[in-house]
Amino acid sequence: MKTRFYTLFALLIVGAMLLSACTMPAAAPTGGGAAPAASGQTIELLYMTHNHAQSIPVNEAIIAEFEAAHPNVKITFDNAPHSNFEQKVLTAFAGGTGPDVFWMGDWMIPQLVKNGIVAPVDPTAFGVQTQEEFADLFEPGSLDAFTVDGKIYTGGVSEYNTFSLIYDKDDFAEAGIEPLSKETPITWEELADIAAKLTKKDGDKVVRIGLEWPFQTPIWTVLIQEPMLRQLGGELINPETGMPDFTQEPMVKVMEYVQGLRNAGAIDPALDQNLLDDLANDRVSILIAGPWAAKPLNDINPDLNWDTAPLPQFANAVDRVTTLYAWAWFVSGKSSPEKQKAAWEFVNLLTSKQQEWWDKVGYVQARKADINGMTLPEYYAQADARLATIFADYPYGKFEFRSPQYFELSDIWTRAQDRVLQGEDVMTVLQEAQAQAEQAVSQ
Amino acid sequence: MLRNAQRTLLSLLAQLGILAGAVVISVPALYMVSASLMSSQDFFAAQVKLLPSSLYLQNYVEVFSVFNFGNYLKNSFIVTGAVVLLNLIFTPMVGYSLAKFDFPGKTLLLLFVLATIMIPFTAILIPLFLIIRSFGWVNSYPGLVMPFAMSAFGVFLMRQFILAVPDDYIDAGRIDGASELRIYFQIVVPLIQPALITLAIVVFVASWDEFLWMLIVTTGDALRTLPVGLAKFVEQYRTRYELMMAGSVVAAAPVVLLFLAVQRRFLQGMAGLSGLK
Amino acid sequence: MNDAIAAATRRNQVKSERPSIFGKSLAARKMRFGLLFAAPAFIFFGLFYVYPLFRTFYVSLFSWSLLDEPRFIGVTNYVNLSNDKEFINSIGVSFYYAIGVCVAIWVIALALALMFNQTFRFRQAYLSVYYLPAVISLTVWSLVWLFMYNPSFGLFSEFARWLGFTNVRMLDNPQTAMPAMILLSIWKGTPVYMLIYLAGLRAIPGDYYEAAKVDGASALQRLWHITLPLLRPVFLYVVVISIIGAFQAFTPMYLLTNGGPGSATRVLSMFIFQNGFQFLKMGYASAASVIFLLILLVFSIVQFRILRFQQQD
Repeated sequence: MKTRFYTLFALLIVGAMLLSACTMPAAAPTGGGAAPAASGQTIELLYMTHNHAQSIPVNEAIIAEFEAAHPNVKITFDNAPHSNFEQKVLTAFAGGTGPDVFWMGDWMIPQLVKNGIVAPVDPTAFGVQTQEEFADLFEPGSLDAFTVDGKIYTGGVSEYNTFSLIYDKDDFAEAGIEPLSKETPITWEELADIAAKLTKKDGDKVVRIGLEWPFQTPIWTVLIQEPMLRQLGGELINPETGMPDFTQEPMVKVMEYVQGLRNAGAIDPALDQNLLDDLANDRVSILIAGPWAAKPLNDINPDLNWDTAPLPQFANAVDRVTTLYAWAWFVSGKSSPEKQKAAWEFVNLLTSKQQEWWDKVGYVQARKADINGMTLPEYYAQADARLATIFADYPYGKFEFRSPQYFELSDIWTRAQDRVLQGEDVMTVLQEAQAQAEQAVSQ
Repeated sequence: MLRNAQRTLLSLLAQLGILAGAVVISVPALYMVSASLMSSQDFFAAQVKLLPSSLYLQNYVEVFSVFNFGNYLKNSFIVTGAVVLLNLIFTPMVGYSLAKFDFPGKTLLLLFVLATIMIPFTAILIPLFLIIRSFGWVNSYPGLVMPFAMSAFGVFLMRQFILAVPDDYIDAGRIDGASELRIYFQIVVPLIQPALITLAIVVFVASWDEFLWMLIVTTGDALRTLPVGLAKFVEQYRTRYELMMAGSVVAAAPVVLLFLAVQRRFLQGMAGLSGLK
Repeated sequence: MNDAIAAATRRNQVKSERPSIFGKSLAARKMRFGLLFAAPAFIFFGLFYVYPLFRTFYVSLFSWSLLDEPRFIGVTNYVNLSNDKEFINSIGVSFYYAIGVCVAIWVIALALALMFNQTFRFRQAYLSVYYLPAVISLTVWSLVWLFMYNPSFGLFSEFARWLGFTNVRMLDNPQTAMPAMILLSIWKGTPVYMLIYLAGLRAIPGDYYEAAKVDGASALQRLWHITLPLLRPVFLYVVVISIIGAFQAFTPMYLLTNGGPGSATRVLSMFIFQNGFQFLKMGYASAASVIFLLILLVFSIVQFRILRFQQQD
């Protein structure tokens, strides 16, 4: 009886697997319907963004404008919660219902380009003929992360960011610390001292911490630690071998520095709740954040007396380096040619609304603009003079390391940071991280 | 005399204990309600706050007006209502057949059910999505409801409860000449009322809280349910915790009401089978 | 001993005497009815769950990033898993979590159910309160606890301070991070199982207790000889389902510590999710899912054996 049952079961498994083999989708990620629409019929586009509350009305308004100007195009707008956005897009592509136009971060580029998920830009939709002319429409360097083998794979950056220091001037005054220079970056060592001084305790309870950033989110670990690493001359992916190197000398120094921050009481990973709300409500004194912080901070607490300073540099830095990261508009390479054409025209409209993106959403744009005679940087500066300091950090910015294993490596990096913050020996932690990284890359 | 005093003292202590337990158990929930009535400044004030400094109802207004919670609430009712209904119809049937009957493929079905319970949902997410897509059910109510029409947990639960029903009652029905269908509806079903109510509650809560599938199968907000709405408060650079707490109070309210409505039935249930002849 | 042999012989005889499904006997009629009632389930579970499960087995033999063509690599994923320290760690962490949560739930939920099986003043009101944690979504529940565990401003930390403990950092410390998860899971999970036990208790005929009281049995004796044995099918359910549920949980770990500090709370279901949807290694994640399934299968078989697969008494 039992053997009969198990044989039946085994047969079923084999049979079903054969069946699966025949119907395996072989990842035919078609953009929301690859069937080419006959000309004159409605072209349906699926537009996916993550959920940034203020951006939704702006997106919807632009969609309405585009549909009015192109009656044969219908755009479905899907915004998914930010924390599950990548998963949603990936599942959609894997399941054959991928979007035609979508937001995505620059760190996904290696995977997206490798698999033909994103299409090279069609300059004609932007009113120019060549890729060079298209690149000229944007701030120099802003499209670097999206250029692979000479081809540009995006229609424009939706938010273009670097990180600088944002701090509470009242806290500084209270602690007797001079406001930071807006021209010369302080050193990381000085930052550690200042942040430690700003930490306020009530018995054993830390009531305000000096410095904070999201410690558990892998992308933040990279955005914070990589400039430090590069300032010391290091690079996560060794340019010669192409392999990650967690045990390089600069990395050891960076991890030791971060451990030092913890030991001095300048940071406290368990305390942080909500980056912007914490600063606005005096739970933290200094943030490492981008230009996107300006608007929300003013909304949360108009009385907050905040100011900006350049990203710190190591005293013995080899080079002045800051960070760069961007979200951008992509068009799916899996969609039909008609859809791609319409999609590029839509992106053209999206990227030409620089003023809305800043005024209503707080997103810095990279497409050059002329707003009442001002260039974009000038426009941003007159919106809030403090932003000029942040913009001064852009030219020194470098995008994050490129790797198809970006997520795994950034996760390993974060776990190493975790352990270092717990007080473990830096070298041991980095050696184990290196072993994991090598395993990850070789698979 | 002493014994009476002892008993009263014990009973008093017991009552105090139950009360204390109730207070402790509800602390997180009370905190959630309290947080929903705080402004973000209150919530993140650099101090421990149990109660809001003033009743801030703005969160609830925003949750409905700006964040579309009315729509999510409606969809949640539709989807969960359908799921609970389908489960109440089919799950006891299957549980009954697994508990009281012997047929070819019975062990296989039990294995199917157990396998379903044990599969991590992330693993079958994409194959399941492809199946739903092949039916043309992407971004439609059937796509949201059908994969949950029968709860494997529920089938297993029904099986275990029906196993406990004495065979004599069922056989008595057969001896009396009743058809199998009549036996099911007139003997078995009344006997498992508490289990059916439990099933309804458990399935309701599971469906009400289902997030991942609701996100993946829907395109756009039109059909999305409350859990997706709650997730939207986690924004790119900031989480709107105070709004999320308000949203979750809105989400929890129907479940609480449902429970209050059925629990009397549940507690009365079948106070023993002694009354049945 | 002889009784056991006789019973076993009878069982075997009954099995081999299973009538043809087309027969006219009562047994055959019953068989057809049972099959009829079970038929929708075959189709449903087979189509929506078992078939995708086989697809998962299949995918585990490939390397697939969700965006590209799957590439056949045979058992390479399984080989790599056996060398993957994170994978081994996640199995251990999952066991730790599951045992911690489940044993507590088995006992506490039963105690509460026994309590609510008695009548007392305000019983209905109390039942609603004790059920409360179950009605709140797990995501929100986890976030509430995130705030409660905040070392400076959290209720839990304040309470600890009131008890005299200082510097209570639950989520920041690898030793206490998992206990913190276990606590919030027990708190949330117990009400449902309390209800299930309660439903089981309600189904026990009152006559049995009456008869026992007449015979002079004490409350404890009634519990041990009547209640617990009759609760056995329900207990099996609670044990099997709670263990499986504990292995599948990962929302609290994901939201509160993202698997940290280090990998102290990186449970197996989170390992699968991360590898499948973040690291774009769907084949690898599928292989891990297969192993996950095998672990649970072994666990469940053991539990069935211990608590007896079929109702015998």
